Parts: sequence; C-alpha cells; structure tokens
Amino acid sequence: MESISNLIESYDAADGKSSITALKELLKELRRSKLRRPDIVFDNWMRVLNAESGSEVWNLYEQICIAALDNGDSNFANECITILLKKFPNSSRVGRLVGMQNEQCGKYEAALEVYTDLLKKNPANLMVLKRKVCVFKAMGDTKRQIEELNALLTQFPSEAASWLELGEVFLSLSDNAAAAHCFEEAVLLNPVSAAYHSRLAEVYYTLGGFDNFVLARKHYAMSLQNQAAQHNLRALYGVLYATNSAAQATTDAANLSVDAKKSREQELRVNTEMQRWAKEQLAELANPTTNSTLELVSRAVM
Amino acid sequence: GRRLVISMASSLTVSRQACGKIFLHAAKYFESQLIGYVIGSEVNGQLTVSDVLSVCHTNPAGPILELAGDVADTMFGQSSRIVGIYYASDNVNNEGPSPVVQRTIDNVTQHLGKDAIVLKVCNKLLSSKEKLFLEASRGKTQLKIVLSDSISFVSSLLDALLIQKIQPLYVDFEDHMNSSADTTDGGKGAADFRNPIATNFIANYTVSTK
Repeated sequence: MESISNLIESYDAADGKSSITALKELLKELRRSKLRRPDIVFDNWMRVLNAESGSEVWNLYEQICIAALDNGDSNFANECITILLKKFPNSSRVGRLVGMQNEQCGKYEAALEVYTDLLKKNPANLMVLKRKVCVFKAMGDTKRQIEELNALLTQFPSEAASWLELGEVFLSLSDNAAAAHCFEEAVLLNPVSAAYHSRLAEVYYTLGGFDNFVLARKHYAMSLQNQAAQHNLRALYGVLYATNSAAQATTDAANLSVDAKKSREQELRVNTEMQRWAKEQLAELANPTTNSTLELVSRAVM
Repeated sequence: GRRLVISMASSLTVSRQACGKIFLHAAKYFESQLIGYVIGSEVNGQLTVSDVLSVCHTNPAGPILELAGDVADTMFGQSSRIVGIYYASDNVNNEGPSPVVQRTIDNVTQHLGKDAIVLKVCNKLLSSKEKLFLEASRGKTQLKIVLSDSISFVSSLLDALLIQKIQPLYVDFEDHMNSSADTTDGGKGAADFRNPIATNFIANYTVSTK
C-alpha cells in the first residue's frame, strides 16, 4: 500500500488528471490516516462518489461533510448531514457532525448542547469528549479547555493524543514545566515515537539550565534511536543545540558536591561525543548539490 | 536648554515577497498558530520589510527559534536582518498574541536591543480585496504599512497564489525539520524553507500572469 504522502505527490503531479481508481484510493487513505485535505476532497468528491459503492459511500459522505465545514460551506455540509441522518437516524457519529456544523457557524452553545445529549447516551464517547475540548478551544476559553482535557484524561489516562494536546495548551501559555509533564506522559505511553521524544526534548531545552539541556539531549538521542538522522533532522539539529547549550551552561557548577561534579563531568564527556557525532552526520548529509538547504543550515550551526 | 527630539518611524514599507509569503503560510496552515521572522532594514529612520523566514505552525519552542534565527542571519547577510516577527493566531475571533508568541516577541526585542517590529495577520481580512490582511506595530506604537505595490496588485497576486496552488508547496522551517534529507531512490532531500518556487512566482508576477 502506498503511503499517503506518495499518493498526494502523485495527485499533485497528475494536475487534475488522476484516474478514478487513484482518486478513490487517495480519498480512502485520507480517511484512514485522518488527514484533512478539504481542497482534494472538494475538487474530486463527485467523481469518487459516483464510482463508490457499499458502506464506503457513507464514509465518503462523512468526509465530504467535514471538507465542506473546513471550506466554510455550511449549506453543503447540511445536505450531507441530511442524507446521513436519513440512513443512520440515531447515529452518534452523525450527531457529532451536527455538533461540528454548529461549531463551524459559531453556535458554540448549541454545539455543546448536542455533545451533552450525545454524552448522556454514552458518557464514554471519546470522539464527542474531544469535540467538547475543540469547542472551548474555538471559544478561546483556555481554562475550560484545560478542565475538559483533565476530565477526559481522568477517564482515559492512556489517551496519548490528549496528553499531547494538553501539553500544547500549556506550551501556548508558556507553562513549560506543566507541558513537560504532559509530554512525559505521552512518551511513557508511546516510548518508540521519535516525534514525542523530540517534542519533550524541545520543552526541556526551553526550560533551560544544565540538567534540562542534558535531558533534552537524552530525549533527542532516543528520538534518533527510533528514527535515523537522515529522516529526523529535528532531532539531529536538536542534539547540536542541546549539547552546545549544555557545554555553555557549566558556569553554575561552583556549589556542587564532589559526586555531583563527577556526574557532571561524565555528562560533559558524553556531550562532547554526541556533538562530534551530530556534526559528522550533518556534514555527511549536507551535500551542496543534492541537499543545499542542509548545507545552509550546516553553515549556520557549525 | 534645547529639547532632544527623537524621531520615531511611524510607517513601514512592506514588500510583495513578505506579503505573499506570510499569506502562503497562513493559507497552508489555516487551522494553526503561525510564527515567522521578519527580515528587513532600518536606514535613516526608514523601516523596510523585504522578506520573511516562516518558522513554524505549532507552539514555538527554544531550539527551532534559535536555529531559524541563526539560519536567517546566514541567509540574509548584512544588508537585511531579522527586525521582528510576524504571527497569526489560530483563533479567527481572537487575533492577539498568545503568551508564547508574546514571549517570542519579547525575546526578539531583547536580542535586537530595541523594540521588534510585529506584523499581525488579521484573520478576518485574509480574503479582503480592499484592505491588507496585516497590521504592524513596534512596542506600543502602531505603524502604518506602505506597500511597495498597490493594494489591488497585491490582492491580485494573493489570488494568483491560490489559483496556481502554490500554498501546498510552501515550506516553513518546521516543515524542513520534519522532512527527510534522503536523496537515494528518488528522494528529493530536505524540504527547502527558502521557497524558491514561491519566491520566483512572486518576483515575476504581473497582473497578466495566469
């Protein structure tokens, strides 16, 4: 099965001349990967709908409805919802689309009513709980957004995506310590995710200080262990900056105990090795002919 | 005694490159908070914004801002440099800077040793044909934006960028960091945050361009 990025590349290259088979596969992959590309859906929905059959038709209507909402076309979204309600009159999934339509129109109280009703029928409906968070985010009510996320995470403590969302809320408020706690939880739930380790590393780096720069370096290293440097520039650059900042942060070592000083010296040795390794990796990748942007970054950081 | 009069710039010239790229960044990541560095110069009290370096479409953290800043210093040399930031809120009804964006503004101000120029994207004006979608300020002073081209020209340019589907190709520094540097088996290498396609399109655009 082709990756979604390859399918989108092929679609862009075809410039409006994609076959119906390719379009069906692309829209199906967009649904599967939960990627929202309203431009692609809106440009091609009619051709694909005419060619689709079975239960996929209804999944496609849902996708078209969401694309219409993303494009601000509430009337068209309403038509899709009407068709879906006729087929699935008591569906909470369609009910969620009704709530989303209210959100798109700015009718946040009406959206909350829809979601509250749906939660009365099933208090464990995770998708609807997440929509409530989205309503408060759209209203700019950060306090309620945090409250709803905390309530959701009390019910679903292994919901990594919600830990990440809560972490991002705290980051937006510049509460980096709270953000670090959230990203730590996400990493515990998914220790092989390179992206989670990198994000946690960025927060530790932002917190600053020798110990946090070392923690950042360690999480960048974990990220690189899970995804190789050539595909993980974020972590590669991160190692360079974290090791550099850790090396420069040694001036607050004066009041340390003997053991702490030994531990710090050990960390600095590892630091030096990692910095050397990262510079070698970057130099290898930074070919001025084939990777000129990396060559520019390399000049900037070295 | 004599009073010392310090003249403060009250206006700011913004190039089509800067307008076009901020617009592309906003068009590609319409659901996200955006931040980028504003590149320009201040000569004899005249403020000019010649270009931008789009940085990220998530909450900015230390490493990406520092690295993008170092890259901007290398890219733009001495005649132009970072003079401020631009940002777009992810909430259409609340266009003000979030605490993390405000902190970024404060850090850039500290680094520059004077108030940073701040270009705010007015979300509700992104589709306006008559008004520019940007507001400028420096410290507590609002700056009048003077475009290097007419508003109708800029409006036509922004339409053309969407019609020609340039916005999915637009790359910010975060996209570059998330891309693969692999050039084997047809790999294209790391995504180019210099955006040559957008830069050339904007530079060569005339109203008759289709």
